[in-house]
Amino acid sequence: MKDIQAKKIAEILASADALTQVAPAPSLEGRIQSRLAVALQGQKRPAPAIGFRWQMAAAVLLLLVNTATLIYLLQPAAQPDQVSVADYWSFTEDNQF
Amino acid sequence: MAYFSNLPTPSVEKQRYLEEQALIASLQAGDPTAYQWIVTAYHARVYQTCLGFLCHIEDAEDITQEVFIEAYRSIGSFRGDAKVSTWLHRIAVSKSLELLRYQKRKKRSGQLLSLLGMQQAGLEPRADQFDHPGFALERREQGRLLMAAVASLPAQQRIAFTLHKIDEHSYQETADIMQLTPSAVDSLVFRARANLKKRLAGLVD
Repeated sequence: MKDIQAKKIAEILASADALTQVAPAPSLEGRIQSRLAVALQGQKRPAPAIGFRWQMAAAVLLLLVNTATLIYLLQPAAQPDQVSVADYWSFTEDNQF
Repeated sequence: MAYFSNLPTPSVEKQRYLEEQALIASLQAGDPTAYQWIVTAYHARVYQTCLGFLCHIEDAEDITQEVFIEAYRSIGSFRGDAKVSTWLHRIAVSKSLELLRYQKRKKRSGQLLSLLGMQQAGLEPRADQFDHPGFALERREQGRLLMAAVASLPAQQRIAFTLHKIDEHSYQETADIMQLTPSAVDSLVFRARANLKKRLAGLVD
């Protein structure tokens, strides 16, 4: 019984050696070629014109200026100098007419 | 086998021109002719490798396409320390295993959904139900058992066995693809055979 099983296993393992190469579907090569052609076309897309870069730089600069202005404007307003009541009275006492 | 002999062979000048390094340079430069050439020359072998791992014709076709797209995307980082064919096979192995891992995760979540009473969808028949077209008709049953047993091997043994035995790469080629020494591949194939015998003993009555 064990011999039969061992023989069957040996046959199954040997079947790997009898495996033949499988040809893919004929359309596969065409499909790969067309996908690659699309990818390669994408690569050759013209670089953005130089004007575009200047526009980007100007936009970034404008954004920075706006942000700085906003930060400046939103600062808490400077408080007027505080005058204590004692100071006020000493001032009025010194300056009585 | 007849298929490979029918492949258009590039002219001698072209062959000289497309020596490995020149080929890599052309690919890195985005030369469409170089891409056409590698697809014509290697797509059948890459497909064969993917089919050996995935045991599914449509998946193998999809991954074969992905291999060449990935090669195009990552050609810039290819240092040329291996043959282009070896590099393509490395991508094929990693993409195939990636898909298998994804499918395993999907299967697990599918089982979970079915436990929760939701529908289980998208499970494809795998190695144990796949009739590899490379097996002769009278060996289909044996082939199915073999593929099922190979699918259950540990990853490294599975890669070595599939590349060397099913995909017919030499020890050296398998070693180059796996970035190991030929003796390490030999040892992996030996252990794979021993494990296959054990696994097949459970499948054969």
